[in-house]
Amino acid sequence: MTGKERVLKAMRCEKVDRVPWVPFVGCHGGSLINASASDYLKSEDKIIAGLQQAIKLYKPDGISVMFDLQIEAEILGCELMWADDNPPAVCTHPLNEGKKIADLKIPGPGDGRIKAVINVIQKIKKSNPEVAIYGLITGPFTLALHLAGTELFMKMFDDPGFVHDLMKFCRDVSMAISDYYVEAGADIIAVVDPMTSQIGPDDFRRFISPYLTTVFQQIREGGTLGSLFVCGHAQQNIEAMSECKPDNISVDENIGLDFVRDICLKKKISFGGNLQLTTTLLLGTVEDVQQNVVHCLEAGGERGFILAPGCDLPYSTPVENLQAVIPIITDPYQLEIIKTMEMTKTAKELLDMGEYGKMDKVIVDIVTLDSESCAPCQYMVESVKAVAPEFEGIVEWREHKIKDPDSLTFVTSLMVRNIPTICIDGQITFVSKIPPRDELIAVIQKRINEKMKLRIRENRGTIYILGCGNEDCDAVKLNVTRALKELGSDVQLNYIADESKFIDFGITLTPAIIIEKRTVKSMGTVPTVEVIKEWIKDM
Amino acid sequence: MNSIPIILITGYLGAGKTTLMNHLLTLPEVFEKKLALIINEFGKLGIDGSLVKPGDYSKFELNKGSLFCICLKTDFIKTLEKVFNDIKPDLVIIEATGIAETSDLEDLLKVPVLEDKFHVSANICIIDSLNFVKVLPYLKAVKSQIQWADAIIINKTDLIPDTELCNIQDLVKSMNDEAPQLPVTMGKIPFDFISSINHRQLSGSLIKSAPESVFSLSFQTDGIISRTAFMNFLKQNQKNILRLKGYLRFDKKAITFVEIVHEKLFENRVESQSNQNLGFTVIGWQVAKEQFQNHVQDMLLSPLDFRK
Repeated sequence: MTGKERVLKAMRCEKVDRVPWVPFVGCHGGSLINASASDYLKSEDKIIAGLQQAIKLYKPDGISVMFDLQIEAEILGCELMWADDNPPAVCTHPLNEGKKIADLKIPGPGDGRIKAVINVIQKIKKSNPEVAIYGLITGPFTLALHLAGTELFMKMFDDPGFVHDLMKFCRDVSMAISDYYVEAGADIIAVVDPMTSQIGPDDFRRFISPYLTTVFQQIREGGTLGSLFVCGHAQQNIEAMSECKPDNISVDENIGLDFVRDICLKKKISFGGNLQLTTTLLLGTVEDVQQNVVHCLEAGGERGFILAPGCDLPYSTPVENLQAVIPIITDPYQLEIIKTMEMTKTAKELLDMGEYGKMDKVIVDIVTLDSESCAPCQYMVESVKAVAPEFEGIVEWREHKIKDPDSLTFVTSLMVRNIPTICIDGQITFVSKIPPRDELIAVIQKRINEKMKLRIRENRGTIYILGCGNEDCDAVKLNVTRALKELGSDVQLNYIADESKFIDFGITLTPAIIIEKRTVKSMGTVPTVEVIKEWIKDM
Repeated sequence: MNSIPIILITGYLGAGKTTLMNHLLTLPEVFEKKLALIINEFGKLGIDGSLVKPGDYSKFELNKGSLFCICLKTDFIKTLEKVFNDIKPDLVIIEATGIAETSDLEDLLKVPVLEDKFHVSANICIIDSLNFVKVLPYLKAVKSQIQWADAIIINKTDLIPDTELCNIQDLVKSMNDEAPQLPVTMGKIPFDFISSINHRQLSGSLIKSAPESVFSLSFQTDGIISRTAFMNFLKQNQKNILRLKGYLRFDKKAITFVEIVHEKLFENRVESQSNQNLGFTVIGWQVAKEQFQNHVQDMLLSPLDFRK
């Protein structure tokens, strides 16, 4: 099944082999080719380059060719303020500055940046026939607000006729642009109308539904699929939105995916969303993204669901965060790992692993999902199993299956965040990578050497010779020096001739030899009194 | 470094947020501080630079006209990070857009890069007493901004009769009975009012639980309706009508423009236009919407007046 087939089937609530993934790449495409948002959104060539890069990096099933809700407004006379890392913003509203609705003309296919979008759709479709192409148009209500400003909310009471007239015009614009994009080859038309979240369902049905319904009817009759995108707190309108008969409704993180699912599936409408844009995709870590993806997949289910960000991707969304989505949707085993790893959050009592791996043997812990059912886990265990005997009892290995609650606590305490992982004496060493035999041997050998060094450092000693300078004393000194030399020992030798100090050693007759062995019991920590007592008793 | 206090100003476009901010800048308690101002509105007048000595404050404009939540969020976080790293002011004043959800702004202060760096010390909502009633039933943010506010400034009170001010105060109280209210003109508020504000930490969505305190209803009429029945309806429902506006046909000859503002009825016969949509919109309160709707339906079905 190609990505495009997957998206189209999911849109129609048909069975798919896996959930399709559609990153909404708008100005973010600019960051992929080192162009500012304003340079990017104004240049056909840059958009194509950015999209090609996005397709290569994110392996999407479908992609938006442009995400800029100011294209229509710009042509209709709204002044734009451009930004380096955001889509442009509308800063003037022509209907507030003396223009009449009758003065506005429906944009043609050659006007403004529409021409570029049409070309981009054609070219991206040609070079990526397996990817579903989303053509995005500004929803009628959002366009109306661009044209009239927020005064429009007051006009709902003061002059409802004006609001309806403007909505009729904006509906006609939406239908015209949607025609251009369908003709260029868009597989899906997304009507993006975020401003509808600002009003309640009664006013949605009064001022928006009649117009959106017509737009979706036209898209449907033209044989194309239509999706309605909203963002913001639009929960109250999902029911009303579904009455406009889109094929799909896409929402952001402000609305629960399960809530949308329940309303949509009843009416055989598919739905999409709602990866968290700011807190997770932009500011979060790869792990945050993975968990967010799992949540979405769990809420979305297998039928009629398209995984997508809640809205236009922020310009500087880290590439690795978006790439983190791919393995989870394409590999069921990865999905299971992330799900299980999330349980590590629930491990309540963690173990103190500060002293882990201080025993004589080298301990190799292999953290797995279950080596019998998961292939990478199995290979990892086998790699260790094959190497361990070479060290003849010095190396001990254990497998920890994280599905087992005891192991879960242990693994969480070791701070393991990926599976499978090899820890050597408690140190995370190989993450999701089966180590080649030589590398594994080298790492274990290195650890053995470290332990040896540690032992040597920990067991230093001193030999004291107490003497008053007579012959016997000289003979003792000579013998000790020779013994050290013959052993090659680095033990320190101290000769004490000061008689007043003899009593400190409890010595009354010389020559005397005293051996003092030092053992490092703690370093950089504050041991408890109980622990220190045990050490003292051992002396 | 201690967390920097933020005074958050919310309110619908035209309510007087900029006037309020300019006024705040003249108060010594604000004037003497190292300030950062964050402005977030489109098509608006700027801050009056003459009120503050140059260099005494830093001004940041969020991507103007960022209607869409995502751009707003990203910009907001980036701007506050910059304010913290580059300016380290004693006080931040944020002027939010008329459509911002206060809860979103507070949530954003909790993201790791901003956590512990800022806190909202006062969340002031300013309302324009002239237009408040008209926009309240339509724009969700107007209601939620009031619900989340620590204090509510009712501005432009010189332009409305006292009865209307009482209505507005009752309305605001029904949505938020904890926040002190201060009726003012030209956004002039004393600093001790601001410094006495206690910020309430709220969480979750308040909109869902709030009662429907005010609503709007629209009615279409095709033909002639009885003027007597209409007038009786107005009389009987007087206390439930905050605003009414529309075009009605009481006889064949002409259509009549009707409007109720501040409890006063205006009637004006206008030239009959065939394409004029007949009907009216009403903003009601203190009555169940369904009940009110039934009253209107009854009125529209009343027998016509006796005519010669």
